[in-house]
Amino acid sequence: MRLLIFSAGFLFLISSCKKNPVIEEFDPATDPAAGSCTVYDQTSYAFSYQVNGLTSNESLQFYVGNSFFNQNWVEAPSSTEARDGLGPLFNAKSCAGCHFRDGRGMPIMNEGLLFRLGTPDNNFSGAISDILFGGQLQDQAISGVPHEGQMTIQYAEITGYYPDGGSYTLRVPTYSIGNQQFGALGSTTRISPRVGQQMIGLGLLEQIPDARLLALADPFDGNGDGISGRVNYVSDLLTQGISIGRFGWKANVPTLYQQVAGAFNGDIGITSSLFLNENHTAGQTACNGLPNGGTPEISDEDLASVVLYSRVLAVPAQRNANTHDVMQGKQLFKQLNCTGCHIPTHVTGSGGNIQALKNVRIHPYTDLLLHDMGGALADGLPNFKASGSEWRTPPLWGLGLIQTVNGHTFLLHDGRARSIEEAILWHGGEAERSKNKFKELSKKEREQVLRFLESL
Amino acid sequence: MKRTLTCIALLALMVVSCKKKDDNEDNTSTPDPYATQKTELKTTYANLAFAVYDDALLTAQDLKDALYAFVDNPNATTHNAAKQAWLDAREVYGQSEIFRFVDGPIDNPSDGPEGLINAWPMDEAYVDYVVGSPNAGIINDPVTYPAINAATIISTNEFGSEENISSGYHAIEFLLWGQDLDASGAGARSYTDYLTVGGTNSNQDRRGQYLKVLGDILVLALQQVRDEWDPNGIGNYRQTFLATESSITLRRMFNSMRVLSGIELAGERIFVAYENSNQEDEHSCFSDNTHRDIYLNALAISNLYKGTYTRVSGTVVSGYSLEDFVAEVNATKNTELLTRFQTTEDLIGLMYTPFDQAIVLPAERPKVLDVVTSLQTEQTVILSIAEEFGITF
Repeated sequence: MRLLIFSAGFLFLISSCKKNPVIEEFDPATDPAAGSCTVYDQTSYAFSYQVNGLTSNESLQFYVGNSFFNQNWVEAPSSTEARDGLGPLFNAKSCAGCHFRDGRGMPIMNEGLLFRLGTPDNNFSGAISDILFGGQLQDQAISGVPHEGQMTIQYAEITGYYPDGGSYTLRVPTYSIGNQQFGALGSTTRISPRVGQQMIGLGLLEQIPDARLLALADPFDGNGDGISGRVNYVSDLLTQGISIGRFGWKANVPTLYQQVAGAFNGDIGITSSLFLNENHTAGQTACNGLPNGGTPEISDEDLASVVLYSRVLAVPAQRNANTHDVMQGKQLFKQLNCTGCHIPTHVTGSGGNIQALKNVRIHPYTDLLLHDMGGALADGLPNFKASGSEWRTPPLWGLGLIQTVNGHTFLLHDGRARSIEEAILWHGGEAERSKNKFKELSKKEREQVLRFLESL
Repeated sequence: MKRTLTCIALLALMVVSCKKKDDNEDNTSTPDPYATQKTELKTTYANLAFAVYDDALLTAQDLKDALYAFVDNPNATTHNAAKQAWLDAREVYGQSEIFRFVDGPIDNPSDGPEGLINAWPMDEAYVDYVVGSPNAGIINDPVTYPAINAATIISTNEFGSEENISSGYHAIEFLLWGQDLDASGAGARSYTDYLTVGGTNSNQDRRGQYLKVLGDILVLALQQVRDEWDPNGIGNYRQTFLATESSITLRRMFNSMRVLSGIELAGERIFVAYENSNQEDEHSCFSDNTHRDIYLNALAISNLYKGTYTRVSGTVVSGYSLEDFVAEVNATKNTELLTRFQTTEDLIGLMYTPFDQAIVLPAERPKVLDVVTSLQTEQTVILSIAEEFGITF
């Protein structure tokens, strides 16, 4: 009996060797999600632990970062000097407002959703903002200042069918802005909602060498598999040059430092040495001349502690990795060529100043590259090299724990998918083939793919 | 050629992994030599949990009564009695926190009420006025929150931010003591904030109502947790817990110990306040009771390890303990951890009080850091003992 299973496995390996030479086999029991940076907690705190192997000082600074991540900023002036300067316009009072327990936001006002705003023009130098509202809708403001407007979402249910006759429903969103208090949105401005993403393993993703991403890129689909991963090249505010983008839904931010400082500025209204101006436009005159919380409002030291915190949140181990359904699902995931973009394995480089993050073998299931995901998901907002229909492959590690940590399973950039299954079914463009192959699976096989993804 | 080689290499790997699987099967068929001890530990754990939550409920009921008495008749005497009831309740609750961090009745994500009970730190302006913002907070916003009741407060707790704390011990603390603006003492809110005729500040009636509702919510929340551990309960968490595989429950015990020592206490509650030199970062910043929080949380860790808890009534609850168990397996590490508990306790006793001055006065700051270091060492010893049982985090 064992021999039979073994031979079947061997045959399978031969075929998979032909299809996908880059996808390495690995056993999560001995080769866990993020090497020494893996943690084994499966509770609702699963996203909140620091990686192992930090120095004593790094370990303690993590908690300082954690406090700045969680605690509310308040209006200036205030006796809480370290944390005043909120707004004048903002989306949340703290990072945790959108990343509750370091996890993922929901497509609901005040629960981790924001509206990105921009025009469909593309000059390849970053997103083009609305002239009055700026690059995002701030739906809150400090007392005495009008907020920009209210996020409004309407969903229409559509029904689809699997070839085997099974049905599914997807909800198609329509977005608008109510109660526009500063004047009207530009006539060509489009709305692209974003939910806050889970914070795990970000420092490891930052440490994947540029050369690795460039090697994975296939901008003209040279291998003819229908998938053309592209690198985004974006403004690097630290080097004042151009770097490869890694973070954000369009890989439009090169470093965690810039991502964190950008979020402080855009989402909470906190200035830093990287973003010295408050987050309002010249036309929003009600925001001018207000007291601020210092120049800048967050010190370099405190910002650095939040950046450290964001870098070293550990990755939870895969659960139930060796159960039959999960192992079958893992093989199917590869057979469907989901691994064409959700590349399982990378090794971090030796750069950076955090020893614990160096030379770690990781399995995030992403290539950090841009892919055309089809018209149904397109937001029509180009960002540097990213077109209006391209999105960065999101990492899948921790996917099955979002329910545990945040109590929901809303996925994709705007949280329109209510489950992993719906998220798969929204895939189009370069992922159209893989999605169709998923639909052609038997119900049992589809369940196995989902069990695998939930185990991550 | 290369492809064939890769396949052969993978084939070889599979041989190895098949072999390994056999080993695993052998391992799982070996009976756990410590099965009896681990089962006894579960019973002790469940008995301690019930005792401490039962006490927490009793002291919360006293606190609720005192809050009602104060609001119904605000004067210095009833105000002080309410404060004392709060301090008494905290003496118990601090010892219960060793039962957190494992998604048990207190803080499981589906209905664990921890966020309603002990969430911190507060953005106090979310609840009531602060210096410079006389109209801040839910209490002073009758337009948005026309009714002050449990539904209002529960729905606003942690809404939009982990720090939007509208309920629990620390909200009660803020409403009793007020902001701590004085280096030499705690917050100095006057009972006159509750006088509906001739009182200070605005919305005294809403403030009083708010305080009463906080007492109600606290009692209800603790009743829920206590009932889940009630030995006479049917179909409650205690029964589930006792039926859970004992290797899983052992892991939970070590997990709570290492989180409370190294992460919660050393990191979030002490080092952050030390590093920021900011009393906003201390646990009980309004009442200046943080030194007791630290002491009681540290005691909670050693209580669980030693399998003992002294009830408010003086009754001692105890049973077969991790201490007994570890002494059998590795006596050296057992002694090391017991010594470390004592060292931590001693160092906590050496810290200057109030804690908000301990983190500011240059001569006192090193003593705070000593406690952090000792708790980190405590965590390291706990982790190394857990490893003796094959538990890694």
